[in-house]
Amino acid sequence: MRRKINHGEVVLKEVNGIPKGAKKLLLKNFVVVGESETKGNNHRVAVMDDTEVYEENGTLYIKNETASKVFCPNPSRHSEETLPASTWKVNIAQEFDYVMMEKRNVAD
Amino acid sequence: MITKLTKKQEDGIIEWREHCLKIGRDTSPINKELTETSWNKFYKMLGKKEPTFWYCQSPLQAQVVINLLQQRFFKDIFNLRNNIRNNISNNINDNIRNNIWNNISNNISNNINDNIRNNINDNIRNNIGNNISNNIRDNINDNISNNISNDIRSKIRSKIRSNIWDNIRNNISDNISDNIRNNIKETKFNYIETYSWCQHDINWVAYYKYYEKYGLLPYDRNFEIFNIWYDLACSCGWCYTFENIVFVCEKPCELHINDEGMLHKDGGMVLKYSDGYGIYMLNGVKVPEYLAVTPEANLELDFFKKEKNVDVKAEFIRKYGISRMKDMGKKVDSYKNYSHDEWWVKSEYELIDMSTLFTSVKYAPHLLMRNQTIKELYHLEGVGPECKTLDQAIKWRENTKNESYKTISIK
Repeated sequence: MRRKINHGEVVLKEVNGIPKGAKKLLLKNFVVVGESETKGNNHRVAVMDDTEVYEENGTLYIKNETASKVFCPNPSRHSEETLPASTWKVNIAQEFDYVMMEKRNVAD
Repeated sequence: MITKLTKKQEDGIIEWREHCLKIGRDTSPINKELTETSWNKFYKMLGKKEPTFWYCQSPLQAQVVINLLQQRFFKDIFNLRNNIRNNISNNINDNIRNNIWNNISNNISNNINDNIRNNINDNIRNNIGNNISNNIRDNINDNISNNISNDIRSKIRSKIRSNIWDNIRNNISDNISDNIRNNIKETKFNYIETYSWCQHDINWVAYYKYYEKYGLLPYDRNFEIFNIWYDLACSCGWCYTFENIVFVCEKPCELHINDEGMLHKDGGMVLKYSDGYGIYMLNGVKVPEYLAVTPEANLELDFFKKEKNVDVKAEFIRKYGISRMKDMGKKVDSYKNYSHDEWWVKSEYELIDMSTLFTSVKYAPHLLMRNQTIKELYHLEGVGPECKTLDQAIKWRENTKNESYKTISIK
């Protein structure tokens, strides 16, 4: 069974491969996988020599040959966790707002 | 090459860290004499005339005063922050860093870095510095690009260790919400970038000072400059440096932390300046004044329903009480009905119908989850009205549809 990791509102789902046509991003140190719309404490994946990051239609994909890590600059709300070597699709959790009667991405 | 610390040096890591944390959290009055002497030394190094000093009660007051002065009296006032940072701080950083690399083994250096620099950075810069900065940005126009060019910003970023700078940059930029941006656009004030955080510069000054104080490095005259930064950290709050004038802010007159060292005050401002300016925070989360000052018995659920930030909502639940919150709803499904996933148990997943909170909704399923980093914290998030079971609710939240995944970690 494929694996998934939850880091706050960020859900990293294991996928079979990078979609054809996805654009490779050249990043150093880390990639922000979950913006913090209101608090500044975003979610990141460490980018190492063997980590490749791709983007297709606003969705990020991460291919890491060795274990990486998922972390926040301020770890007090979400501590660091290991991202095993594999290929991952980045999703943001959604919630339903019963005042507005609409769904939206979870924001922190 | 030093490969082993003496006992005094080893003990000094924590001792020095605690000492510097106190400096960063200090609420005592400004030491005007030491402040002025220190800035005079820096200005002399830059070949500048000794400045005059204008004392302000808070950074917000300083921003207003500087904006008014710039608009009405001296439009050509020249901000020296880049001069000071580039000519003094960055060069010193490079020199001292090389000195450390040449003389101290990696494992010792990393140990000191983890225990002093990162800890103080987390406690002072992240907890205090950024929260003040962000709150000021809430009040005054964020217009950094008017004050500092991209290439200079890039240069500064490359010169200062990435973890600290990333924290500052990301915390600052990401903390400005769209609503606040719209409000700010209507003001005529510019945000004045702060580059001399003085009291809150202790996070990086502490790291380098440790090597000097505990005799890990041979004499380096650059430490004399670090000592000036250190004196400023001990003597005053934030400063805004201009050609002939330095605006010096008081330190906060009140500052409250919880047992974990996070900014926290239930019932009032967590951090307050003598002019009344301050911010509200619960357990390290910036919250609206209402949530901080309202007694738990008087909290209205309307606030929870309308709040969009999950961290603020979680703090509402913590204050309101998870049992009281759950009692408002009707349990639909529970992790106790399943045994296939250890993370469901750890997260104590429950599906609760909270329709009693909403006048026009007959069924409003919410997913209750226990935070896996802060165990006493719970999140309650609405899921689609079609969700009747936990499995459906979790798949809806994570948009996994009919796919199946094994959870390997939740944080």
